[in-house]
Amino acid sequence: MKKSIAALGLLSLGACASPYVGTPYTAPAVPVTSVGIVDDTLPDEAIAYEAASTMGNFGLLGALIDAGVQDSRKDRVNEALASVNHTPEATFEAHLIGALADAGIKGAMLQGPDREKRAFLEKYPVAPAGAQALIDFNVTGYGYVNAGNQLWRPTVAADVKMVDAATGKTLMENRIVYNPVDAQAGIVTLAPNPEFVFQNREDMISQPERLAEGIDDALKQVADAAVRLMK
Amino acid sequence: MRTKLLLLAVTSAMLAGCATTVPIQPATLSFDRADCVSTPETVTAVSLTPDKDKKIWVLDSQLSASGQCLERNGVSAPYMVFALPDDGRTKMVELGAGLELARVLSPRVVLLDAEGAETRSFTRDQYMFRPGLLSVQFVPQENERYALVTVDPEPIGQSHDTIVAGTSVTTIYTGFGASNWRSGHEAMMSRGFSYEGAVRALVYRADEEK
Repeated sequence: MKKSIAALGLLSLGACASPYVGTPYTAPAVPVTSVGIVDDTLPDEAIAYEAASTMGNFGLLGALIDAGVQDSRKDRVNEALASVNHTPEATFEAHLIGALADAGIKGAMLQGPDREKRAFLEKYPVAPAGAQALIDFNVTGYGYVNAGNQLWRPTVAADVKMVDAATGKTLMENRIVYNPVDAQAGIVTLAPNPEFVFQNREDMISQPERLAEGIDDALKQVADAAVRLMK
Repeated sequence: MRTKLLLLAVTSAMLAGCATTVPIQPATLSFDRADCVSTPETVTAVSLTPDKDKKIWVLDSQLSASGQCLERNGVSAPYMVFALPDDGRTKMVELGAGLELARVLSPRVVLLDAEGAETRSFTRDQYMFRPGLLSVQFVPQENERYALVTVDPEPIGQSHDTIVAGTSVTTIYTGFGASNWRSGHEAMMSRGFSYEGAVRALVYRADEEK
């Protein structure tokens, strides 16, 4: 019987991705004090994703089983969040408006329409009277992530863009990820709050209030970071 | 037998290539020199004008307690000055501290005009953690010629604690071939804010430049 010889080659997947290149904000001579915020900031459902699952290493069959497990877990997590009437979008938008106000910027939510896909809008609605800029806050994913046989922690990924209401020029664009796994170079990273941690699926769905609280906490930190990028 | 020996040799060579011994530097928690200048020296500024063919130009430096020192607003600290690229040549510049294993320079970045006068500075909450960096990003304006990097003394003595998650791929060689095994890892990192440490500058080429 042949003995296996293992060679370890640790590869960072994040290092393989192209660096993200944002657009830093340069404060104009006349400061932005009023903005409109584009509607539909969050996806409808939370994620519950294990980045490197054991089954994912077993070829096509393993990948199919893994997809089923991941979907099932995601459904159970969303059911748990629904059981406590979790409304992350409303909480997030209210916090964002408050964070903008703390920075001296009056923010107002625009009403509809929903995005056709989770990407920046290609055409922006007319800004409300007095608004100097529009903020396109596109949370591309939120929920829980596990690197692989590790602990479950909240995660949020968001692309945020500020455009001049009159000219459409991009004033700021950035990507913020709370608790990234294999962080892409160039993005803003936020460390996870160690207070919100779960051992496994059962641990998550048996504590729906805490599960929701962890998501809201992460979303608030992402909103705060975005406002800091608008200074 | 020869195959096994060959595989072992290749494996050893790969592991040796990975095994870089980086000394772990503790945070420098104090700085006290009496020979600091009151105006930063711009004549010896390090150029940040990138090579034309590079999309992102990276320049690594060290801020050392034995190097240049500046007394600014009653605080003495090491410093270095970068000469910014000409206006319009870059999409943006990123400047800040490189994250080391046990320490991170507590950065303070100030932009200066041709005479060395301050044009722009950044509040502490504008420094963001990005992979490997604690940095600010900015677009140099027409009147901004230099970037001063020195130390913000207030966070010294504190630490930045973070949980870092990632995945890695292990290539397993067997008698029947090779296969990849992807697994996750998570680590708690704690770095002390320091008067000394790595400085990294990244210059992003303007989009329209070929």
